[in-house]
Amino acid sequence: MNFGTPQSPRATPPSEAEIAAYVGLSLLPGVGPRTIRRWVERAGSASAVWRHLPAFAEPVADREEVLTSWRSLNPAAVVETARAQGMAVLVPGDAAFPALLRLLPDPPPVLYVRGRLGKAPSVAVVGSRRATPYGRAAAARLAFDLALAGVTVVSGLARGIDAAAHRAALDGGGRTVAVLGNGADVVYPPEHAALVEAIIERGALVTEFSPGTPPRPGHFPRRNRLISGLSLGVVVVEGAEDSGALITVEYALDQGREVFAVPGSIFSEGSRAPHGLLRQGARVVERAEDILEELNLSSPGTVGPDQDAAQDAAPGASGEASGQQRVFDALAAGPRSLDDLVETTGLPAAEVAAAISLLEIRGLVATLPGQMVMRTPGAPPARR
Amino acid sequence: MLAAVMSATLVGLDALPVSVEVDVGPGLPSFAIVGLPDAAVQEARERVRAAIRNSRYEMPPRRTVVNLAPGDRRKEGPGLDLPIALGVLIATGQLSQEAVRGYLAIGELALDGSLRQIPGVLPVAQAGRALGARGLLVPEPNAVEAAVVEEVPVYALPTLRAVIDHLTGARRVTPTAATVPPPLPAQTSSLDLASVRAQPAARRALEIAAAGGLNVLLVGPPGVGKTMLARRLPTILPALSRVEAVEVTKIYSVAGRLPAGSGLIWQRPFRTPHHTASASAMIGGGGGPRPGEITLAHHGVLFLDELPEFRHDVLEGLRQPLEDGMVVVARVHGAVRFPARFMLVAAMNPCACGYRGDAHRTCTCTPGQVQRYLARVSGPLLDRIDLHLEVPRPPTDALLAGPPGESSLRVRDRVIAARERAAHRAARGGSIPTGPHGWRGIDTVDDGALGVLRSAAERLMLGARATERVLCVARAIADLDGSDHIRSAHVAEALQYRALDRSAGRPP
Repeated sequence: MNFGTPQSPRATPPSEAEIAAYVGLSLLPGVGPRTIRRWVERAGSASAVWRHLPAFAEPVADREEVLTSWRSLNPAAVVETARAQGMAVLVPGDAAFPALLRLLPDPPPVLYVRGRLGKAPSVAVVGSRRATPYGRAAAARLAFDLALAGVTVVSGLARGIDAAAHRAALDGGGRTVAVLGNGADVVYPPEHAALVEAIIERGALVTEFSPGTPPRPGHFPRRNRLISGLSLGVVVVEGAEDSGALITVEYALDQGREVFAVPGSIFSEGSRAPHGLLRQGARVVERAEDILEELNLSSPGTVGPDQDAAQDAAPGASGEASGQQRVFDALAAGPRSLDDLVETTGLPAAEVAAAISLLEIRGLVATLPGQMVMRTPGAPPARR
Repeated sequence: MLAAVMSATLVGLDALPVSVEVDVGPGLPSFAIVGLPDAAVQEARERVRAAIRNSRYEMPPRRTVVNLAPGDRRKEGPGLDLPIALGVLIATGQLSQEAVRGYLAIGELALDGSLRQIPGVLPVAQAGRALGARGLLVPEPNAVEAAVVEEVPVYALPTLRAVIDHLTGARRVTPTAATVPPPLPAQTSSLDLASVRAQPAARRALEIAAAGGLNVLLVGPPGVGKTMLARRLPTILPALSRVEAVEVTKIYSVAGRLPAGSGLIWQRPFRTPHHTASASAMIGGGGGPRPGEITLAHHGVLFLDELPEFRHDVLEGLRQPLEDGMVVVARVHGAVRFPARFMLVAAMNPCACGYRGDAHRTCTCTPGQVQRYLARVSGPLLDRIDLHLEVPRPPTDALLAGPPGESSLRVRDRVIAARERAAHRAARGGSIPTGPHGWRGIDTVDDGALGVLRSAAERLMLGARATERVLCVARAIADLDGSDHIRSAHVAEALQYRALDRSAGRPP
């Protein structure tokens, strides 16, 4: 066994005992991700740490408290509860564990996931809960265009900017990931219940917190660490001087992520955080292209039509996205007329027309005189 | 002795009550008509004189003056023959004033005293109702039309003598029954959308146009079925309501296009003026003035085949009616307003030779020729056409062997549902239903839809007016989809129906 990199993905998925051990470690009071990672590196596996916890816990301040909860915890039961509620329980050794998180010095020991984390590049859009109409519009515009370009939009499901970003990403036919400061079975804030359902359908809810954990103020910095960790870059839309968005920015800088800021009105309190960031050298964002270019995602084909959505399209998932893929695939052999496409794809004329428009906006197809549609020269070859 | 008879004359589509006063007195024998009569009214003198004599009444050689009040408005047409004749008979003591009181009389006299059909009896009957007339005296062929106005008894009379016999009680006529047939059931023509095979995109576009009452431009090579598609549009439109039917009938009545003895028109008009039509034939005008093709197409479809071949002034004249749903024809003696709320369906070739973009023929036009051909249709007119659709040549085998498409009746059911949804929303004070007359407010547009629209405007180079048309089309699509909110999929689909805007932005 290679002791140096215990967290690299393995050929075989982690055992149930290993998963339960990680869950157990994550539930110990006063023991953080960094400590857990150090212990696991030393012992070679989380289950080894869990079995010999008294020895590892030697230097911990509240050793007695840790050992008390170690004795009383039943991690296997927590895993079972989580799975019963439709959550996947991911640990760093799992192939589905996000690669960007695995590279952190302090990866979360456990992720509870509802929905599906895709492989597409992600960008976080965060900001104030007390958003102005301008801020919401800015967040929605950027998130929509990012989604249209195939980028997954990550945010924190809070009121205001976060919610606007999630919604716009879904509207753009794309995927979005919400990172929570509570258990994945708890809907907070409660008015986002419908949004949560839509996100599970077309993205994922992700949290470090075990099922049933209520939202607490202390949880949110840890959530913010995951928001930046899951993303290639963080876009701050609005925030006051002491905004939580700035905590996300700090994590992003620690993690080596790009930071972007959207300028606001000089009369608005919500412009303090982004303007402060701009002053310190954050990149100005006016359009989604500004982000895509900086992150090298802008050339056509970097992000294909529905890399992830194609998989979602299997049974019962978003028809909008799969329509685009089917039309795109049908154009593999050369230009076709709209009428032809209706016949080839078997989709209604309305859906084919809508799909062509969206593919056109994304620059993947072009229309010619005579109602002919063709792939653009830069479009990637057919997938699957 | 002095006499007065109630009648009416046409002003545009409406009837103006006219009091026909006749004075017969001593002096040199003469017959004068005053009160702004037009040529046809002046000629009434000869017809009235002959008709009275040939009906075996007396036309005494005395000084006869007819005054048509109000004196400042022009009176037109031969319809005043009958009231003038009645006035003369009263003034010469051959008929009592009392017998005529409360009746509104109208009709053209033949020299033998028989009554002839006149245009515009329906508005006259409406004027009679407004005046509280006790009865309408009309020529026999006009009776059914007049009886559409149910509150006033209509007496159908073949001759001048029959009129007098009725008035004196010598031989009473029973009022014509208001025989209003119910709206005809669904299938009234042999045209059906089912015969449009293998052109799903065009079928869909027609359905959207019908649902929103939108204007359509069909662009395609000769022989791909543009005219066939246009002719089937009325079959998927809802039936005329009674109010609409009365309006349409009135227009055809005034235009003199109503067959003798016919009542309400229940079919949506489908007008196909030729591309050599003059501006006044198209817009309305003439001395009358008379309604033009756009008014004859009111509540129906105006189909302009070979759009670029129409005269420039004719096409430009369409812009204002398309916007306002009516046209104002100004004349020396005042302006006349004609309704013109029609769906415009235009067809054109994609270029001068007709084969640009055709998969099977080579276009022989130079890029300059293509530009000049398309430029014959002005941008402002194109801006008022909501859907531009390219109609490619369908594969021959699909035309011959393909399954028939969905029938007009089924499509029409969806169109009716969509229109009801739009009307319901308008009644609640939401955004005005779609149509050429404007789409207002963005209250029901999703953020996602706005996002698609904005991206499209930037990347597909759509102008502001084109963008508004896209929203109009998306509104109709949403209504067909049963949604009060315009969503991104609706906008995305609508973008496909702006072929001509986008040809500007694409490589030649």
